[in-house]
Amino acid sequence: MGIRINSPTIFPYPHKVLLKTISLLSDTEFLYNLGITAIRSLVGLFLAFFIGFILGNIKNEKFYVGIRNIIDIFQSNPLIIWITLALLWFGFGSKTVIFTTFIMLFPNLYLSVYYALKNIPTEYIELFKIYPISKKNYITKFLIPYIKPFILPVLANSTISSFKISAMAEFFATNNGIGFLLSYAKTFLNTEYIYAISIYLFIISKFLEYIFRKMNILKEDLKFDRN
Amino acid sequence: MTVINIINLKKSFNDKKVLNGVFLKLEEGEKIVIKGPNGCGKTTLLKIIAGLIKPDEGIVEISPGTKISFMFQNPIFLPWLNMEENLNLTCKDPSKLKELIDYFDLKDYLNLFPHQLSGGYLQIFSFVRTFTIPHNLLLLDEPFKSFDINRKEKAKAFLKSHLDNKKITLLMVSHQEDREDKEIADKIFNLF
Repeated sequence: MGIRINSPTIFPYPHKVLLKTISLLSDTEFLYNLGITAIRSLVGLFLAFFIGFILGNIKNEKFYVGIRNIIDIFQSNPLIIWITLALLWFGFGSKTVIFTTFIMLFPNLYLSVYYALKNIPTEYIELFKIYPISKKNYITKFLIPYIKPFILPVLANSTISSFKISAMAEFFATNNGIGFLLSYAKTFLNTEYIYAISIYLFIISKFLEYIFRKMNILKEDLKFDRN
Repeated sequence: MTVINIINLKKSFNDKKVLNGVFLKLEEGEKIVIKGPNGCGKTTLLKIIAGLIKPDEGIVEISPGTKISFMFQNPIFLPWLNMEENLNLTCKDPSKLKELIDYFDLKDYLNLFPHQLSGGYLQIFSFVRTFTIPHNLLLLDEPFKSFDINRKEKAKAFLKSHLDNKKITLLMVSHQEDREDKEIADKIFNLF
């Protein structure tokens, strides 16, 4: 296809892309930027999960409606709008990337916690009314094991997405990270480099997915871990 | 002393009247069995007394200081805990729990998870759990439903001895066909 197009700038030779991909493994600058992106995506993910978990525990219908409206705003706007606004609010740098990652991941994490807690079967609520247990036991022996199968798949998917979102935000809003490397490569028409990075993003995403599937987190049916 | 006083209790679910003007009075230490066809509101009545369901109309007076223990019609256990962990989670009287485990010979089943047990065994564990919290009012919802004959006899014998010489009030719901209720109850009421 590259030969037909006759322009390595548009579609480079596969073997050159492969060589570039392999060479990046020993490229300290690339690994450093990969690490920066990983840290930003994990911070955004952690904030989204932490705040989503805290807010998801609030069982107030008015509060939920308020948050739901905010989530609708988050979800109805494309990612680029949030990157643009974040650039205006936080300027060029990590804060913008973390904020964008947070905005994109928060809705699903919050909703999974909220609905899991809202739909606790009546039988369990009745059980603990008759047989009260300590708050510590309620959280560790009931709440966490109960909520785990609802949250873990969302958390796993969010972890996979966080890397892609952070890379996208970095493309516009930072001078380091994988996203910035992409932007830099685009400016200098380094197509092989772009393809090599996209291969790494693909591998990272598939690797995380593989790990989560191995851990039985990403599965179709929700089953409680009985052991 | 009156433990439960129910006046003109009414409850409907989706416009279907389940309880329509129930009056009931239980004195301390009394043992009452309520019978009736399916859907007549026996379980609903017990749940209202236990404070699990709110009535639409009527008055439910429970004497102050009453400690309720309730055996659910369908055994409720946490599926991620084994039976020992399930019982220990709610148990307030470990010596009583040990006594009942030995009495019903349940030691070999403590490490199993709820999904690994038959309905009958879950019912026995549920029965056992009922006596591991402090109580002076026992609400039992078809307690012997899935028991085999041997365990039913043992459970009845235990219940009778538990109630003897103690000021424990019993309100038990039972299916119409069960005949052994007379051995336990002072009075049997029918709910229509």
